[in-house]
Amino acid sequence: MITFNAVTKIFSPGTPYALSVLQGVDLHVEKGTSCVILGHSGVGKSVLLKVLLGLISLTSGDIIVGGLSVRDRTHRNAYRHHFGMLFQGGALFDSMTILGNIVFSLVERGISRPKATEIAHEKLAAVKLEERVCSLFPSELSGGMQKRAALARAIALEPKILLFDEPTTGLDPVTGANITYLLRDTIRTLGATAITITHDLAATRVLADRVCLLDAKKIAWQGTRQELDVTDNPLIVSFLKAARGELDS
Amino acid sequence: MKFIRLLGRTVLDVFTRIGEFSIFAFKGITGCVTLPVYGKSLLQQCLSVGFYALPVVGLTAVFAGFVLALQSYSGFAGLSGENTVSAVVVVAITRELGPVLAGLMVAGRTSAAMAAEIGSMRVSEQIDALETLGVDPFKFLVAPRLIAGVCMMPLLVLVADIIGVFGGFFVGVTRLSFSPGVYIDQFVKHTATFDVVAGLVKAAFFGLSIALCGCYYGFTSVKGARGVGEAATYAVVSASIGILILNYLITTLFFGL
Ligand SMILES: Nc1ncnc2c1ncn2[C@@H]1O[C@H](COP(=O)(O)OP(=O)(O)OP(=O)(O)O)[C@@H](O)[C@H]1O
Ligand SMILES: [Mg+2]
Repeated sequence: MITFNAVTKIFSPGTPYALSVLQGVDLHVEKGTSCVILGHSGVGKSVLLKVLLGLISLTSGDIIVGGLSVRDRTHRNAYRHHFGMLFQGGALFDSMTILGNIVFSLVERGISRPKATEIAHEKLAAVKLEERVCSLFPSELSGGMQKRAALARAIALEPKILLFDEPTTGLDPVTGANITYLLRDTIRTLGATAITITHDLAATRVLADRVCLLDAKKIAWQGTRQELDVTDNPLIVSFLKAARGELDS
Repeated sequence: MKFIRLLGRTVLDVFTRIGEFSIFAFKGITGCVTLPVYGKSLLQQCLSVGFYALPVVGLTAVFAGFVLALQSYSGFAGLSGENTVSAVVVVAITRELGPVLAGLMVAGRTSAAMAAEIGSMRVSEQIDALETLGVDPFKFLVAPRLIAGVCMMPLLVLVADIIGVFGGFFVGVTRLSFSPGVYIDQFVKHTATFDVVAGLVKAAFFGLSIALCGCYYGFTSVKGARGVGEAATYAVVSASIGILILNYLITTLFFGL
């Protein structure tokens, strides 16, 4: 479903400020599977998703999704219609109400307004947001509620591929766990292919069919959820150790 | 050696910026003339560029009219009467002060607001979210602002002209004890359609400069509150400089000097 071929991203190449973030990333995500990407802060995980969406242009390499290339500008919209993305900060449009946010994204894809409103209410219920939230603006919601609303917007179009950028970061453990289960159920009901970025190992164990570790500009390790606990890859071992609170000083 | 390298880099940076800005302007203007049109957003922008700027622009114009009348009276050592004062006020306001003062006020108000709004949308990934949904941000965000700038600025300047001339009249009649009838006669005599139209054409270009600078710096804003703040500052400064340069160019063009 999704194939990264030797993806390289260098910001401002050829200048003194050149910053190489991804260097020859190869990754294949099968249709209907859920892939979790782990990695240190600032290693380029968000960049990986933005490159996948074509929001940041590639320096070299290619990404193929459902037979379309990210480099193919003439089919840009068809390419992007594959995706529903939950951004790291939610990225709800703050000039619109919560309901307005979802209705807008549906209407933009040619769904009639009454139908869009109906779907929006349905999706808000699916992410367990109350009716009263509909008429509020994003700034009037708590972080967890914003994440839910953003999720509702991402899934409103029932995309084939779901991308989640740190869905549980900045939430308390209970809310985080609730969101994690919500994501799992959403992926299941839509039968979607999913890529989730997270630092949260509990979420990884719930969501992942496969786990990848992004390190030093590459996919440094990948394996199944079960392999995560038995591997002796030093990076994974230290990641797990740090997550259990056994920090090396 | 170090100096030459720095100089070279600065020159390159400046040209890169100019290139980027031109591409941005081209995309923005293309967005204005292609479908779809986001009517609601256009209406909102027209209100915020035009209607909500009325108090500020009106106040600036009326005081400009006041001082202009006083100065043109005292500048001629009290020898001038209704004729000169009224002529100076009308010509100065319609040709120059109306458009430039309104332009600078709106630049301060609206460019900053546009840069801050779009900048915070950029920083909070809302623009990325728009693109992911398949919405062209140039059509959704930039085009309505450009159209609002180009259409509302002339209206604002027209209002500024009227209020400014009235300010001159008010000072003339109350402080300089001119006869209202004569003042108005002179004023009608010296009002040239050409001057007013030239002022309105200027205004349209100023509106474009204001909206383009606001949108461009917002769009290219970097992360953090500081990035957005800087974007707003750059937007105001460059829109104001743009207005002054455009004003000079259009004046040369229209008045053939
Ligand atoms: N638009 C950009 N221009 C220049 N550099 C960028 C840009 N976006 C990201 N970077 C750089 O790319 C690197 C990776 O950033 P990224 O946001 O992908 O990190 P991340 O892995 O998502 O981290 P976190 O877990 O903190 O979100 C950082 O060094 C960042 O400075
Ligand atoms: Mg990130």
